[in-house]
Amino acid sequence: MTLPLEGVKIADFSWVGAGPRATKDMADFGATVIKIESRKRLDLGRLSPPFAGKGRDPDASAFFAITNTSKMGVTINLGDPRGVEVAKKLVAWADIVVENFSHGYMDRVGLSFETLKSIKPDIIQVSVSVAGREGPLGTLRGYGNSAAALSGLAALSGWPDRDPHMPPFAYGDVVAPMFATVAMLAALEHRDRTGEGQHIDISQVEPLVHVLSDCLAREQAGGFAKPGNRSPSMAPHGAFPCRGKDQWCAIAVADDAQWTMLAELVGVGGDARFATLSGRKANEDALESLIADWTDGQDKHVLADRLSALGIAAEAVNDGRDVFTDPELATNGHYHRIDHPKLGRCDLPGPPMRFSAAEMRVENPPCLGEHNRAIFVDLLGMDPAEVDALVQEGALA
Amino acid sequence: MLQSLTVLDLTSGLGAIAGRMLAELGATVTKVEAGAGDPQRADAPAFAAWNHGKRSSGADLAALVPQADMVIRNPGLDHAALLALNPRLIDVVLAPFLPGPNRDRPETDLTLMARSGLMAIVGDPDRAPLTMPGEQAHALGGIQAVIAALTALRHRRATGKGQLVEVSAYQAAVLANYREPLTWEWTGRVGARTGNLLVRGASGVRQVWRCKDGFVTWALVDNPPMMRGMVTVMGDAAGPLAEVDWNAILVADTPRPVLEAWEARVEAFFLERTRAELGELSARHGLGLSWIDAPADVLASPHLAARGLWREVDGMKLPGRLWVSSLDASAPSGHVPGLGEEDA
Repeated sequence: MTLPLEGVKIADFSWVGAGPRATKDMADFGATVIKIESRKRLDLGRLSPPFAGKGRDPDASAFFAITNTSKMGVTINLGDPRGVEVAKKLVAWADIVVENFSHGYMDRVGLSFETLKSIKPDIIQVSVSVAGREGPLGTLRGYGNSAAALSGLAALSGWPDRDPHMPPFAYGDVVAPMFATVAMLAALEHRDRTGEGQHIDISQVEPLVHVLSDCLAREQAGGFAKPGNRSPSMAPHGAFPCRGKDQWCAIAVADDAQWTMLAELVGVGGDARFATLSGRKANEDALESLIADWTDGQDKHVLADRLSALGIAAEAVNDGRDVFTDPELATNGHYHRIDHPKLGRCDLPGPPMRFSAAEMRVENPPCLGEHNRAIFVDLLGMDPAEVDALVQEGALA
Repeated sequence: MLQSLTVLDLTSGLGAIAGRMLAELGATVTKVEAGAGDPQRADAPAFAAWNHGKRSSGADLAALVPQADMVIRNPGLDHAALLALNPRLIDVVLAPFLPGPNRDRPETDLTLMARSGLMAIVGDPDRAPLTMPGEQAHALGGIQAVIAALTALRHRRATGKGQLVEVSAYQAAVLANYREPLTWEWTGRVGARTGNLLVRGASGVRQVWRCKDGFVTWALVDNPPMMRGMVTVMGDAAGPLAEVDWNAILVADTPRPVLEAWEARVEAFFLERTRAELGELSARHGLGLSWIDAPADVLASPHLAARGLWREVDGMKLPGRLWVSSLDASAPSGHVPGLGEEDA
């Protein structure tokens, strides 16, 4: 069996989350990804907790690790023209260049798309930024919450009677890189068919708008009030309290037959108010209150399994521990064991899929500059003494 | 980009976004709908959102599969039978779980979001956990199905052979919850809901604010230039904020009562200004503030319109382009397929 993207070559200038997550996918599928970093401007992902051991060793961030598996790493200072010249050699080697610098940075250091094309006429460049490079907000400097704010995600999140809610994780940093992975794969297909490269400009806002497409359609089809946990087509549909501090079980009843089964368990089988979906929607506060009285005190996992066995969708609201220890993930190979000089033996997640005729890999993330010699000398054919000198002088640092 | 690609889409709900994205990239995507068709047709807005740009056929799979590059579906069909019809077929199966002990467990988007751990951290501490708007576990699984399909397509270039690719929507949602399982693995701590407080240290800072005509997001953070910028634009309204030496303190560890006093000043300043005015101040002074767009604002955004995001679909504006490319992108029609219209 082979890796499906064996032979694909990526020069990865991206950092933090929005680019590196995409190149992680490609690397796990077998592409050779060379991550270009600098000690002069550390990837902020290397400074993000949690860390293995005490202190903040930039090679020991577990956050960095899960975002950069299976890549090789070199250090190049793009603030030094000699560093840029070496970067150009990697462009000549690559099929794809990925970056998520602030607006204009690549142009300023002499790595504009026009320059990349002059080095490699069929190069594919994928750029990820908060609002995209083109358009009136193209120069917007983004912060953690910008994509959620500008896409409607924050406005549609939270309880109906309360302010917009900022989900406490960077969802734009999740969905945009998935679009970037799709972009790289589609652009490779296009190049192989036509010989053409291209520059793809991905915004973090637009992928979030795409995954909210149904909400926007409903807004235009008659208005859409944010629903909290409720659903127009299912009731009950929410999270109900269970035994223990902040323990909950999500239950979604898809039809009247499922309700009949649940109503028997809850002890409200004869209550005509709830017999139909429209009745349950009209009396949803009372419905939820009765179910909460019944779930309160039950174990969330036992309850979820009991309802699932009846065909009613139900799952414990898991916390980080529940997720990490979920046997489903172990059974289906979600986590892959690595042995890393700074992280030790640990489990890192891989792509959520499996191929019948290809393998995937999840290998060590690179330590800072770990592959300088392998890349500069062995791959690019640079003179070892020249490389040493450039490292000493800070151009390859 | 994918003009030569022929895709059969057998999904309903879970995975519908996958064919939608492939159609946007130029593939010919045909929904194969027997009988009354995709049950999601009953929910017209959602059906339009996830299916515009596709075709629809009621023809027999045995007639369609030999000409197709790939099938995207939910579980139920026999892979070997499909492969017998077309050995080059890429068969992408998206399900809540990969085959295993939970393969028949009933799931909805809500319950997948619960199991993934995302609900535990979304919402307010004084109320139940919350899911996210729309159907995010389904969407994440669907995008992963596109990644799976195109990766297998690339592999087929090398081997000449098709294959089965199975994708887990649950695992896709777990990947989106990138911090919580990792934090437990490395620190033994579990996260909790903090509402609109951003917690990075011992304390927490507010990050959603009312202004004159809506809401903005901004926070007191350990970024001295940004904080000094805000104090400058607030002028006299800054009060005690003007006295803070931002290089000498850690905002993330400053006690909540102190932060609340500072935040009251900021709140009063924001309430007198519009989203546009605050956005303009942020752009000019590097404040790190964003206005919050409601769905109507998103639909009216000049920026998104200038980037060609929207497609007119049956009188609605729906997201079309996935990104902006230096190549002229050919836009598929903004058409929602009638049941079996390809067979007419």
